[in-house]
Amino acid sequence: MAQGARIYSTDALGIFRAALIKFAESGNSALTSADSDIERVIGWLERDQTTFWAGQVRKRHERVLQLEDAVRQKRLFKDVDGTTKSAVDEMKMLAAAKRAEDEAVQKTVAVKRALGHLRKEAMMYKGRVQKLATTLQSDIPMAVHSLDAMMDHIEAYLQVQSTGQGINLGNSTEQISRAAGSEKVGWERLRDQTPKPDRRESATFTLIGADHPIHQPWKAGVMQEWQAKTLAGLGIERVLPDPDARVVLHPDVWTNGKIYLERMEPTGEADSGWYIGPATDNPTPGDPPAYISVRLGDVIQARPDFKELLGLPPTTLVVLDTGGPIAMFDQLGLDIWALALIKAAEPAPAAETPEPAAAT
Amino acid sequence: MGLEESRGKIGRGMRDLMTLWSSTQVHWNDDNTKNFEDKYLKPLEMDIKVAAGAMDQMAALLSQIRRECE
Repeated sequence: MAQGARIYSTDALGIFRAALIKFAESGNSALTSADSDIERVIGWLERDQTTFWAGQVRKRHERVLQLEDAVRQKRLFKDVDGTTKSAVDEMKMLAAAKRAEDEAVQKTVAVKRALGHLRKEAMMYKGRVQKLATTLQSDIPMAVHSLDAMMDHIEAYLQVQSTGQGINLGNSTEQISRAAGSEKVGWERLRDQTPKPDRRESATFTLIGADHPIHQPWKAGVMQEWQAKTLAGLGIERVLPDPDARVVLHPDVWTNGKIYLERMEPTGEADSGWYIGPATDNPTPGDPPAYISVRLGDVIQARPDFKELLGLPPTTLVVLDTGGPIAMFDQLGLDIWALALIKAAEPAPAAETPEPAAAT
Repeated sequence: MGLEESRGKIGRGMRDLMTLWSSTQVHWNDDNTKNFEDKYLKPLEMDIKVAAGAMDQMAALLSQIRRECE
């Protein structure tokens, strides 16, 4: 029988999720670097060392021939007093030259042998690390989606619990398990709730007066300065649309404790592409709500902190709850907010470790 | 980054990830924790071990080749 769900903080899951993404990225990068190192040594043997030692064999052989000739000359020609000249020095030099030639020949053989051995070992190596490469590229993203689904259901569960409706813990666990196998997971499912272009275009344009409810305090928390700095740390280029460009709002979005902002491709010059609506798993069934279209400048007047978000590029999805941003997704579905939090928590990079000396 | 450094990076990364996993279990500990660990983390650990062994072996070979052929 399934054990009851025992989850005390989705933040911990969020942090682990982000660490998992980071590990997959750094693991992929390490495997690529390792492959490059092997290829570099193969190239070094094929091009540099094969040519170098072949050249050395030729040069050193020529030197041996020169010294053999020198020894011969010494033995052939006698001194004025009729004695044979000493060739001891030339003999020593010849012996050293022959050793050097032998070394070059042995190196040539060693390079050829090493090349064959390394090519064979490189193939075996690739076979042994392939499973890890596949795991990093396929299984980790699945694990991340699984965590997304679980966090999503945990949030929903906690929300239900906090409203006093209550659900069975055992059922909750099963729901979470089911969610782990679901294809559509996490906050990204909110994208399905964003009104389509025709509906956004037909949203009623509303001029915001000073007494408009948009100016009341929003339940979704204001983005704090540290959160703005954290976001800035990602270095994403942000271009704030024209203040007169339109933003489509869910009619009572400011009354929701959890909201989302999604930027789609603008439908025209007057459209910023932004939609802001409640972040709920269970939108009210029935007729679509009476969306309103307002000036982006008016939205920023009501929520000055949104200035940090509304410059984010199309396809961005931002989720906020009462504490500010809790997730941000780019077009690849990557939670850039989690990455930003990790980056912000990292200590300043230490000086680079020098690369090991090149093989050549 | 050379092969030995890559090997170190992967090993350290896995160790840090598992440390974080232990602390995550303080906040999340139920059947799903075990399922998640069995489905994703244990196979990952095994893959890392196999890959690390291969990387160690290859690093030793590269070192030997560099020494013998330079």
